[in-house]
Amino acid sequence: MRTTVASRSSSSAFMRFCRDYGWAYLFILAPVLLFLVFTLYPVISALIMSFQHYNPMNTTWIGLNNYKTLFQDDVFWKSMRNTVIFTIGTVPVNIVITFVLSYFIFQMKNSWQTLFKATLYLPTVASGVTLSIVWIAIYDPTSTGLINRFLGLFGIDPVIWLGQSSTALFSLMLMNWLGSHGAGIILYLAAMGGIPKSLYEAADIDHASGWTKFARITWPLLKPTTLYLLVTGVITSFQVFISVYLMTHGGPNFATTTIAYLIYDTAFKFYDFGLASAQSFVLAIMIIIVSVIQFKFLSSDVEY
Amino acid sequence: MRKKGIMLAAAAMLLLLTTACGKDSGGTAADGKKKDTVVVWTYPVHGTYEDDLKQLVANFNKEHPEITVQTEMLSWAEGPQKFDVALNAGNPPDLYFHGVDGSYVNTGLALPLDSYMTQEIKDDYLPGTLELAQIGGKQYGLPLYQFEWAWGANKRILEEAGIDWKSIQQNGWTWSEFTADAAKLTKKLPDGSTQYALVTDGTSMDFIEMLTRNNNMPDVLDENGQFQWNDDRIKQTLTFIQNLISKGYMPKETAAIDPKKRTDMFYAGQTAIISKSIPYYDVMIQNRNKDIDAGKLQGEKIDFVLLPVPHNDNAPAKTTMGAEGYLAFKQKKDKGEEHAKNVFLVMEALSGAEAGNSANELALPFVRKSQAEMFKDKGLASQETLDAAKKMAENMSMPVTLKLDIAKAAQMKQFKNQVALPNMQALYAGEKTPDAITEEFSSKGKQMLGQ
Amino acid sequence: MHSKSKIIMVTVASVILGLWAIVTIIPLYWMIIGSVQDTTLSATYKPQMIPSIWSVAPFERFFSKTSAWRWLFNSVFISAVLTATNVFFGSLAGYAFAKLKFPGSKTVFWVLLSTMMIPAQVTLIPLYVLIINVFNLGDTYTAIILPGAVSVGNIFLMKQYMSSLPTSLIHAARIDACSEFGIFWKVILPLAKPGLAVLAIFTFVTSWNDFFWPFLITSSDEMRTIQVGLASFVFAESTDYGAIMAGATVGALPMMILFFSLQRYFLQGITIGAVKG
Repeated sequence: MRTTVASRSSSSAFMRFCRDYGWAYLFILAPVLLFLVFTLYPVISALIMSFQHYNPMNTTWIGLNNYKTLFQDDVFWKSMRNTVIFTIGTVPVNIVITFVLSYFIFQMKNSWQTLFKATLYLPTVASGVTLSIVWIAIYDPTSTGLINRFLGLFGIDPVIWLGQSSTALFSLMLMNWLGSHGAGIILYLAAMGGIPKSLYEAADIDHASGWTKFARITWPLLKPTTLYLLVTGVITSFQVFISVYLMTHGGPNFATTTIAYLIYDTAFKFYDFGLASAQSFVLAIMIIIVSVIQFKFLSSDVEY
Repeated sequence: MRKKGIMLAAAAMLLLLTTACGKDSGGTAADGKKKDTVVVWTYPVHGTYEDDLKQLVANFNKEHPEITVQTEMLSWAEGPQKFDVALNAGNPPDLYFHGVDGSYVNTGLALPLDSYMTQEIKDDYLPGTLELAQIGGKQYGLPLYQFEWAWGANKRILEEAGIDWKSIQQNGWTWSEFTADAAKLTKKLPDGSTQYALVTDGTSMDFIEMLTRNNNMPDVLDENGQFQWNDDRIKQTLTFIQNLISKGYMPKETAAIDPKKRTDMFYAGQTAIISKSIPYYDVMIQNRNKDIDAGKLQGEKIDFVLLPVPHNDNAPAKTTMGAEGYLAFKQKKDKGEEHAKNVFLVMEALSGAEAGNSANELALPFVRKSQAEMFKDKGLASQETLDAAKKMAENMSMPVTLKLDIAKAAQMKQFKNQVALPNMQALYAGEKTPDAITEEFSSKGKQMLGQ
Repeated sequence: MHSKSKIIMVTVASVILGLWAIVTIIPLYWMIIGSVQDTTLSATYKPQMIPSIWSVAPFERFFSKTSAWRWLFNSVFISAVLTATNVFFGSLAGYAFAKLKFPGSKTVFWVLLSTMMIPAQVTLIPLYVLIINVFNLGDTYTAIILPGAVSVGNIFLMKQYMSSLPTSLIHAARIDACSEFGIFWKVILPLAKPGLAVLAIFTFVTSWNDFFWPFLITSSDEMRTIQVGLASFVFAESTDYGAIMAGATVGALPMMILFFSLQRYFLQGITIGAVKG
């Protein structure tokens, strides 16, 4: 008797819960299921794999050996260095370029603004594959290459852009500088448009210089946008892959091997899935640490 | 209103489910006990191989209508990786076209064929050919032809420079002789561009492998597993290459040249010699000339000359050779002995007498008596090329991987990818000296190969 | 004096901007211009900035040498399905997180969001093994589509967008005894149309341009997307410069046309949900 009462009341509580919240859970069901199957399970599985030596027929547990191997591997450290150089060489540079371009565009009349926005945004809609193919042609080492032809006008000898360690990574960075600020410009312009005019007028009354206005008003108010571009930029560039894969295969002499490419190489050239998983966890931890640091130091006044 | 929404959600789900049926994944038919499907991944082995294959399968099905043969033509550029991925996921095709490879055996999925081989089949193979598809004495594949790597040249440029190519085809040439000839072959063209003596690509290992074989090193390891690339022999080879670049006989942008660009330069007459060719180039270039005559293509017609790789003055000439053909695999979800037998039936059908057309088209040595019989005097390449190929085959260098144990072969592969190739790129780019590279090979060899 | 310096400043800015815009656009110009010059006609012909011979032959060759039509169909189909699923499930979940109060809502949202920090490389190998060996879906549309059916980024975007919609309308609809799904379908979706349009466009472009996953999971020629097919065409030992550029153009042009025709959505849409305030 007592049990029926208890069960009835709990079942009606359950019914009420379903009535109140059932829809909400149903609405998030698809993403949650996909998350469980295609993110959570693979992450756990990768973690386990990173302690194993993978073989399709005979996988063995080897403890921390994969992690030991990778920290003793010169190529791993080289790829780490390349990734950091690439990130430092592209993200801040791109933010500065983006900011300057946006600042200039902001001074323009509306119709000109649209023209420049559209032009600078265009390369962003072209795929990584397309851009890589085109840039391979531009960097052609012989005098057919567009850049070498341009240098030839000034009597400079052809440069083997992608074929020598000294210029290969730089070439990938240069390509990145010239075509990835479309989205940033639009965000900056939107943010600049959101700065109240009255702030500048007040500054004008105080005879503030252009620099002061910039340093005291424009820059601080654009900080959220800058932080957003910084965080997303760092995460993206830590994972740079397609251009490396299509243009240099990580060469020459590992000069352009980034971590993402190294993981690919370990997994799909040497089929050492265990070591590749270990490498990918090191990458994940790096990304998380760097992201957290950026938020801690820069985000005091940013709300997400 | 509510219904409409649910309908939409259902429709979306349905869409996902129906797309799941986009492709039949093969496997066995449900009814009929003997029905079976054999999956074959192969390549456009020669120009008309796709048609040949259809014919071979059709012939096979006359006798075995119960076995469906599902063929997939891979591209040379990506096929090997597609296969490696499938293999390492535990789901390789039943048959795959390639040379035998220790790393395949290492997965435990390669199917040893010895129990299926009849004496009749064994006797049909010419002496020494079956061994080219064995590892550790076990048969893992049936060779379809013996491949042969050489250099190739543009006859016009050779003759303009007064090079006696016929004598080279017959007697070979040394590194000193080659260097002397290279000087004659290099010149500025009227349009300001350079005509090089030799062009190679900076992305693969073929060039250095072929040259080291011609300086007493069969490979990075010899067949006993002894490390070879750590003494004067490798230093001499590297110095030979460095000299060719610094003298301008090879382009100084070699590091950035890919195989595609290399072919481009050869067709454009920008180089006398291309660093990798097979006798089949003769046929390909003849076809290209026909296209030019027919106006489909413009460019200079080329007469092709097959040349042996030069050898160091005191080392014997060696020709890089091996065999390619079908290899058999089982899957992680093993389909059983009956299936394995069927796989072998298909394999033999794709490697029999008529399949000899591949060797014939490619102008390569036959591997089976029945094939040599069937295609006697039907060769397509010029007599000169056929003779040269035959002459070069006398100096065959067996792939050491067939004799090495699997673990050693894997170490060698790793050494080549992680140490040798990057250092070669550094040599081409002028970033490292032969001395420094030899030293690095030697120290990395100790680390990776333990010697 | 003041206005004079302003004029100089604007002039300098215009010149720099103009030059930069030209430099940015040159690669794409070089691609298109390279695709209409037939380099196979002569071994010594180099592509020119302003071509002297125009030809559509490179396009003809690209289409005849490859299954490009099939690849284009695959790309359109896959991108369209991904757009539909992302818009539907993304807005549904975004609405739930923004407007419905339910236990665990914050936790689930943050757990989902934090997965954005996990690089794709981590999940790649298990995901691959899962799809190939467990689900047996290698080389199918489902395998290409399913893992990206609704991305966390899109849910985040939609949550931000939905938060800005008035809650009063939802209450009104609830009093009218609409079901929760009815409210979403009848009230929320029409209001959210501009946001949905943006989401659809960006999802379509991203899916179209996606390379790595389709590359890994497809093995037959007829299942490739245009990006994967294009990369394979370039990798194959093809010496045809014009046809390669034609292929690159084919891979990019549809999105460039989409961009020009829906410019307004592109240029304003990106600000939705990216930065609040």
